[in-house]
Amino acid sequence: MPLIKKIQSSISLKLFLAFFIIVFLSLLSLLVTINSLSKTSDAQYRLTQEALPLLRTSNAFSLSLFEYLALLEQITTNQNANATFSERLQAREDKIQTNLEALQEITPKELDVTPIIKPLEDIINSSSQLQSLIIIDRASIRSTTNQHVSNIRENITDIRKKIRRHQIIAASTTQEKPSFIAPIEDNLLRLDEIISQYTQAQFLDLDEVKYLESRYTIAIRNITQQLTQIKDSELREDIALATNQLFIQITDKEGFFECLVRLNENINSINSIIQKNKNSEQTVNLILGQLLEKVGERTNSQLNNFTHIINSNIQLVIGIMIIIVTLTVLIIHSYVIPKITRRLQRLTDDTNHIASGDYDRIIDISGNDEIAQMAKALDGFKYDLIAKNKSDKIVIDKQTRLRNIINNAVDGLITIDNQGIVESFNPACEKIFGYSAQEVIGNNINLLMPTLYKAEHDTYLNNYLSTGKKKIIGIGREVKGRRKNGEIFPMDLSISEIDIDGSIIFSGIVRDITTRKQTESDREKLIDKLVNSNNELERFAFVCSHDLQEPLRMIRSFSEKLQNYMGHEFEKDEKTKKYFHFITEGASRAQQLIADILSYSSIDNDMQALETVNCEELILAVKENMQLYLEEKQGNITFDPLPYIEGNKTQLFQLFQNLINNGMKYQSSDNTPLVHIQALDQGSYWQFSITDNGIGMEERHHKKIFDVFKRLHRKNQFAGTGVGLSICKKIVERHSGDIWVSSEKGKGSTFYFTITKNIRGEDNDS
Amino acid sequence: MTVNARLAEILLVEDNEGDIELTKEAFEEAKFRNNLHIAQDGEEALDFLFKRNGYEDALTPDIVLLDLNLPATDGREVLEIIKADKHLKRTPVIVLTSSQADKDIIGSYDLHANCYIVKPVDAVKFMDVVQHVENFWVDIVCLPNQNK
Repeated sequence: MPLIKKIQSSISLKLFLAFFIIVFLSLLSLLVTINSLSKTSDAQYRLTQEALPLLRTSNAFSLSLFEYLALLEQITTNQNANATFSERLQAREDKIQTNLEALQEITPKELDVTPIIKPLEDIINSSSQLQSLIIIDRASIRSTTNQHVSNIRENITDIRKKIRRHQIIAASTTQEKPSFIAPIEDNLLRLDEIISQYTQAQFLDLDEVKYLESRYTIAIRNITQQLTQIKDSELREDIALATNQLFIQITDKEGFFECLVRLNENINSINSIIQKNKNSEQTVNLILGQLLEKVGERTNSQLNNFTHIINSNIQLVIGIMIIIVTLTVLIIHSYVIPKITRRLQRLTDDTNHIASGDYDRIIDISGNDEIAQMAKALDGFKYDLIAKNKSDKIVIDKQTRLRNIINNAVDGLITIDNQGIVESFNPACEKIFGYSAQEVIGNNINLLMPTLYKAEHDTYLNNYLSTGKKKIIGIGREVKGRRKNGEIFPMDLSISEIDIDGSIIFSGIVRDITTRKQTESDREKLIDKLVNSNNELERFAFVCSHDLQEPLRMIRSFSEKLQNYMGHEFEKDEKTKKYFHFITEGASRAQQLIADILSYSSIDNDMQALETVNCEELILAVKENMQLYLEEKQGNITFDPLPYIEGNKTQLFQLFQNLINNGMKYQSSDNTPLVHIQALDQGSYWQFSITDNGIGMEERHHKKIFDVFKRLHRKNQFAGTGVGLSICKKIVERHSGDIWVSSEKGKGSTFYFTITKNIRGEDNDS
Repeated sequence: MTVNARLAEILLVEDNEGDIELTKEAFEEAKFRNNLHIAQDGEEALDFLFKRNGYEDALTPDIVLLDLNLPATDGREVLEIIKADKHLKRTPVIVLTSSQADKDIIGSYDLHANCYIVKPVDAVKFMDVVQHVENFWVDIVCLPNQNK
């Protein structure tokens, strides 16, 4: 039986009735609460209606009072207070009156407004006093003071003028500058300063006034003292008169400094009135504030009454609700939960275990109800999870490996979408291009191309996407890249197209080949240079040899002719004979040298004629050439079976001949020369050896003997030019082989050389 | 001055017989008495200098005239060996050769040759040069006497 039905049937009808009654009661109490709430809001509205106008009126009153006071204060700072001012003041006073009346009318009867009238009257009464102080008193004091100032200045100027005039006259009559002038002028300057202090400040406090007065008196006394020094009686009288005038300005009734003191008193009384007014304003505002507070309190106490009623109703409702909930919980707990909780707990535990990855957990799937169905579903889910986890792990492993491969690749790897926007950029790329991955990803790939290629690339991509025509995809190509620092460099680029879930991306492998290109070009240049110089050298040797033969022939022929011509005479003189010997000897040596050089330098030129050569035949031919020599020396040439080899027959003949010849030649005179030739199959090449029983050589000469013109013996010991072995070496090298010697002094020598079997293949490769 | 009293001992190391002849004649005509020894290759020169292989009685030469291109042990090696020897290195070595290559000139001086002379092509000049060499190295220069 399904679980829900079990629960339904287990709740009895009685319980259901009780439940119904409780719900009814709670609804009732809710209604009461709502009713009292609406009453409260009514009362609130009423109170607001009463309080607001009062607030507004009291504000208006405060404002008008403030404005009145502001105007009053203005005249204390404004020097030009006039008649229109009192009119404006009157207007503001009227406004205060109107606002006061409105306030009295609107204030509830039980609240008293009268306390504000007294301070208000004080303020208004003060205004006339303030006006008289400022407009009448201060103006008259200032005008008297200013009169004094102008008088004083006039007198000062007068004295100065007179002194100056006297000074000019004195100067014209070449008298010295009178001693009284400087002190008088100094003191006049002092007086000037004292006056300026007032005119600049307009107001001085009492201490300053006293100080200035004393300085003024001292200055006048100083001037008077100087009067005795003046010799010119007219001038003396004039200055005395003016100085007296200066003195009168301060000793007079209402003198200059007395005026300053009165000005001071005037300002002090104005300030005290203003201060008094401010206090009165504060008192007014305080009373108004208390008034408003009282109104607020009244409103609040009324509201509190209502709130109290509402609160008690709400408490009732909450109490009923709590009872309902408790009952419901009790019913469920005692009838249903014990059965279900255990299995639910178990299922929750199972779920938690599986969620935390414990797939070994065995789930209880017994039963037939919803919990059992949930358990079965969870069980199925568990097996799905196990399977999925396995495949996820494989995918993640593969991804990690792939990422590692890409990140550590030596070659740069870039992927772009079909718009050319870079999607990935591996560390090798960062190294090659100098950009970090962040800088490139999301940008167009043409950031990495020289300007010249940019447009071309977009055309490429569009062409390919629309026509499918491949220009670079699938094939490697050498292109130019652009580094962050702007440097253009050659690179190998291979691009492949990848279709991922229907969207096409391109991946490019980039290899910086700057160094390789540089090396290649360096090598090519070097090879070119070498080929050139080699060609030139050969040409030179060839030309030289041919042209040199000519003069040498001349020397030889004509020295022989001369010898014949001298005949008997020649035979008589030893020295002549010797000299002729050197001439013919030198010439024939030169001819021999040239012939050898020619033969050496011509080796390169006939490598075209490759053919199969029978080595045994070659040796026999050499032997035949040397027949006479062999008979004379009792020598012999022997050989083991020799192979057929690929090569230039003429050169190979020369090679064998030179080596065999050497073996025969470098012998001590009492020895029977023997030369033996062998060939050894070394797989890809043949190794030949020519062994003699001759004089041999020290090891230190083993390398040098293959150098051109290098000889180990004197010409009178063994003739020769030192070219023979160089020719051998060159021939062997032309056949891709090596040549070397193994020998010991006095124990004969064995010359080895190798000849590559597949010389044509070698040739093609090189 | 020291040499004047006695025969100047001169060693010529030269393989070319024509040059040997010319040098010989030049020294025969010289105003100072001299004793010209000839070695035709490097080995012979060294034997002479180190008094071995048949030269046990040889005198240490006052000057050596040395050709560079010799069979087997060439002049450069001979020069190196002379200048590496504690006593022989005092003997002036005059390189007399047909090579005008910078490599040889600089190489010889690097090996402490005392002077380097290129053999003049014509015979008159050759004789002239040899006589100048003799004048300078035998008459003017003060040489160490190593045969006391």
